[in-house]
Amino acid sequence: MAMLEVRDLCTSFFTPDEAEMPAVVDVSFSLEEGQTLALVGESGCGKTTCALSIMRLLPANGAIVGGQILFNNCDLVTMPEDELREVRWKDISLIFQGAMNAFNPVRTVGDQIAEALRLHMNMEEAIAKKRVVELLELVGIVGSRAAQYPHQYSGGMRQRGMIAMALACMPRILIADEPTTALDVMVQAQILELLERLQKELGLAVILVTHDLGVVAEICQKVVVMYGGKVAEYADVDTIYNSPQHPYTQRLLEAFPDLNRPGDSLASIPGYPPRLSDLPPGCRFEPRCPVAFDRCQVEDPAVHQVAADHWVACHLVEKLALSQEDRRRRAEQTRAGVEGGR
Amino acid sequence: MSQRDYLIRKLAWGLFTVLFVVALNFFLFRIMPGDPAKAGVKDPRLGREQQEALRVRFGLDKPVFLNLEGGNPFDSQFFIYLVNLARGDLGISYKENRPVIDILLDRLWRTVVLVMVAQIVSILLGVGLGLLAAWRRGSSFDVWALAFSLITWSLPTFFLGIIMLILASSRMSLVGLTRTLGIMGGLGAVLVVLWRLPKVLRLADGTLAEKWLRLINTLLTWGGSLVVLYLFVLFVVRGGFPTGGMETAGRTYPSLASYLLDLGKHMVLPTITFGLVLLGEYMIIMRSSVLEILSEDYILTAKAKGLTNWQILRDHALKNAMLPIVTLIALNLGFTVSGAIQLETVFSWPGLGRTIFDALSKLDYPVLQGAFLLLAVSVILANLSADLLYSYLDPRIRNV
Amino acid sequence: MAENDLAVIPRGRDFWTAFRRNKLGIAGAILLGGMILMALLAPLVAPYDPRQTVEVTLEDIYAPPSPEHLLGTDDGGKDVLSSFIYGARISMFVGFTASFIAMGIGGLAGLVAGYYGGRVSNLIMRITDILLVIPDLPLMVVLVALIPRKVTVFGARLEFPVLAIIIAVIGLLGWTSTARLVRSQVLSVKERQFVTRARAVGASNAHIIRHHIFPLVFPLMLANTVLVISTSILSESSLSFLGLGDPTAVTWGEMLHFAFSRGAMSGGFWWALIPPGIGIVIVVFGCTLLGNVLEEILNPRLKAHHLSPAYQPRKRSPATMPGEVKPAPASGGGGE
Repeated sequence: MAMLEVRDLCTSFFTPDEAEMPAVVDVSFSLEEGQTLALVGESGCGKTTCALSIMRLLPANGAIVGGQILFNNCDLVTMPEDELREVRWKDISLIFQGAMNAFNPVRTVGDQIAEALRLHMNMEEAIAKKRVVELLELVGIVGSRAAQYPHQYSGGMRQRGMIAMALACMPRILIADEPTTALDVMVQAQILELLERLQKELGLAVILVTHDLGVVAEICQKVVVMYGGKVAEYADVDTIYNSPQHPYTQRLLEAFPDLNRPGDSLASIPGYPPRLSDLPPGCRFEPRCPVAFDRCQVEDPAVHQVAADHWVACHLVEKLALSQEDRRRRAEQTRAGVEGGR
Repeated sequence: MSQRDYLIRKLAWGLFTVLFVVALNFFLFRIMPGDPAKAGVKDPRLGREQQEALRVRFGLDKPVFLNLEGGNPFDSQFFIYLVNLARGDLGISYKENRPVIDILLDRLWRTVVLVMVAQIVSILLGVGLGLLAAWRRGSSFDVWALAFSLITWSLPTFFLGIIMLILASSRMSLVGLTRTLGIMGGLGAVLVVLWRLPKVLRLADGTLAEKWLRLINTLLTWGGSLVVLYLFVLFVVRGGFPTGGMETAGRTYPSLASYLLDLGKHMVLPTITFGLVLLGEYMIIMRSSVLEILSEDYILTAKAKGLTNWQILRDHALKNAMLPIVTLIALNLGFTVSGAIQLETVFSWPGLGRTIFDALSKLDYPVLQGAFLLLAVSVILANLSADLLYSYLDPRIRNV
Repeated sequence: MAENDLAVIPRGRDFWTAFRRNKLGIAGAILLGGMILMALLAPLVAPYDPRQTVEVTLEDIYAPPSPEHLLGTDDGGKDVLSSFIYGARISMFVGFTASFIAMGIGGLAGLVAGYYGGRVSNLIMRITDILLVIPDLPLMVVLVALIPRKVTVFGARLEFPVLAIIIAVIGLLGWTSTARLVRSQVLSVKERQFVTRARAVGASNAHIIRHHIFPLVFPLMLANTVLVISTSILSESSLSFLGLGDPTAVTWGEMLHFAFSRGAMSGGFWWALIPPGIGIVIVVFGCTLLGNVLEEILNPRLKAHHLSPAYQPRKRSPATMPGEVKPAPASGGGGE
């Protein structure tokens, strides 16, 4: 049993008229110890909502409406709030997109990190102070900066500070929501390097939410490609990059500019991701899919396993896989018949 | 920029504003109403010579800005005014023939006494209730708080004072009061039920009990507010509080305690009036500050850390809300001063505001000029102190 | 930040649907509209004309409410109800006119400051700083008291009615909030791509302001003006109450002034005091409700914050489409 298992998670947002906008539908994946898993997709595909759902930090108009999130055999979805507070930060912690304001501007960085230590580990002042310095140095910030305020840190430093704070209580899982967006390339590299190092040194499991495929290739082992709130493809990183099956994944990879072929024109996927209030009746990718056929317009594909550790939600893939199955079986039968006929 | 630069900039700007107001003051009172001498010396019994003598005495025969008739070019009304100001001489009252500064200082403390208590109480209550309203946004408490603030904001201060006076001077009996309020309460309850009933009747799902509970909740809130209102009106009507002035006329005080008691009784009605108005204002501003703060990312961080709501409010929201509150209190001094004029007029309180009012009707320009200057400058200085205080409280300014 | 977030200002039908949904906004509109209607139809609605001189006997002064005088009479024997109805006219006229002046000045100042920036913006903002810091009622009191009524200009003698001076003073001091609002709006619109595009195409500044910036700024300005109307009415009533108004004009502030200074308090003649005050409260309350609702629609803020109670959905939604086969949990045991 994996450390974290998300099973058929469904999260929706509700308008003031109580109309439901399903943002995450039947998403399933699992995370092992020390593994890094990527949640990849365009803006608005539900990956951040998915990440926030794990810790039940949804905004007030959102709610988990179905599924389970199993962590250590406990379902985080139904856990009472005060128990959940124990899990938060101590077992699973989070760094946000755009950590610009994630720190309270009127308190020192060190104080805010110590707050987590005091809360979950009951540390005394003096020990907490030392631990804060350790944590900052772990992420490459000079320890004396603990007494400074967030506005005195650069953007990259603030992000690293957030990572330090997120690691304060030695969590098993770190959820990183777009940790490198809004940072320049040099700083991006630093942060990624840091995450990789932490993964190796501390055995930290990471869920990386991103739209940047380059980042994914560098440090992740497993990838969940999401589209329109559903899982499009779920496999390990090599499979995704070398033999993607879902048309969306394929287009996504194509759209990524290849530095080795600078002369190529930029490919993009025409159209826009679906609006939650206006979802197409069949497959959500159908309006933009180059290989869609009639079934795609009426039926939303279920996630289908095409190989060990490789799942795809696409009618075409299913059809091809079935016809492959079919051909194999017929070939076997023919062989059997031929042999039987001897 | 460093904190020092910030402070210097603020001080320089404050100084400039003060100078501007000083010049404005002069301009308003010397230039505007034609010949102020005529106003001050309008006594028809005075002959030409005596009028002229008075003009000389008040320095009104000199040129206004610069004296170009040989000798000292600064021997003009403007510079004499500046020099006098620096010496604390604000001129002499036309009517009372006393130095203006003496009159103003005598009245100033009375205004301060009146306004201070109301300010302190409404700040404390307003901050607390505003915080609560923001936290429980959308709840019936929040709605009540908003309604209260909106109503007190729409009431002119002097009108609220008039209402208080009417209540205090009415001789309604306990029975009469209960009856009136009972009728009002009944009508109100009917309105509330009619308002909510359509929602209750829409039996969409089996949560009818829930909707009835909400209706009862609303009624209870309404009923609770009515009880509070009733007790309040009872207090004002039957409390026997004096309806005007600062002291009981013609009374002597054997001890300080008896003076303070009498003073206190006179302060009740105007303080309540002013307190209500200020409370509404503080509550609504605190509420919107806290709402903004609670929508910030760092609150989500705190929640993700596993802090309880109360801990988040206490350790994060409150601290951050203090910053705009400080600015608010200082800014509100301007409002306080305006309110004081109305308040003191209605309650015949012999303070600075009332002085302005009296000087206006008696056309006592030196007093009017001096009072305006004093008010404006004190508000400017208060704002300046708020800016300085803010620079110490906000670490973004304190360290760069 | 999304490119189009400013374009989320609801237009036309969207606006009306949003507005109709908001009960408070409707209440405010009804209150205000009712008062305006009453003011316009005054000659038809009021039982008497308060501007007519009446012969009164001692009994007619401060007479309590009766069938002939539903709200009693005031210190001059005039019907309070009629004065109340007619009072709406000038009270609201002063409020509206002063606000339009303030809106005009503030809008222009904010537009210029926001669009041209630099020193001009600095100067204008400094002026608003000074105006904000000086306490408003004392300044208004002093100005109204001291501005000369009669002025000789180029040999011609001009006489200003008091109301004109009051309107001018309130308008000239009340534009600061509008200016700040407009400036910040213009600043954010200025950075939008369509403005850069327009400039790249060669559109003149005037054209850009008129066709691109102004339409996006104006609705918010209007919402702000409604709020300025309420403060203007409060200012006029305070000034009149303190005796600086026009004694011949029938405004609510004047009614309160006369009643208060002519013994209505000591005599307990509440009918001369309460109605005009209620009039002020109704109009100001209506304006405030309306203005706040308009601002909310045009500049929506989040309805909830991070500590708001979690949403409890009524029933579980069938998020799974019919006919789908639920996949086996993606863990442990390999293929099918």
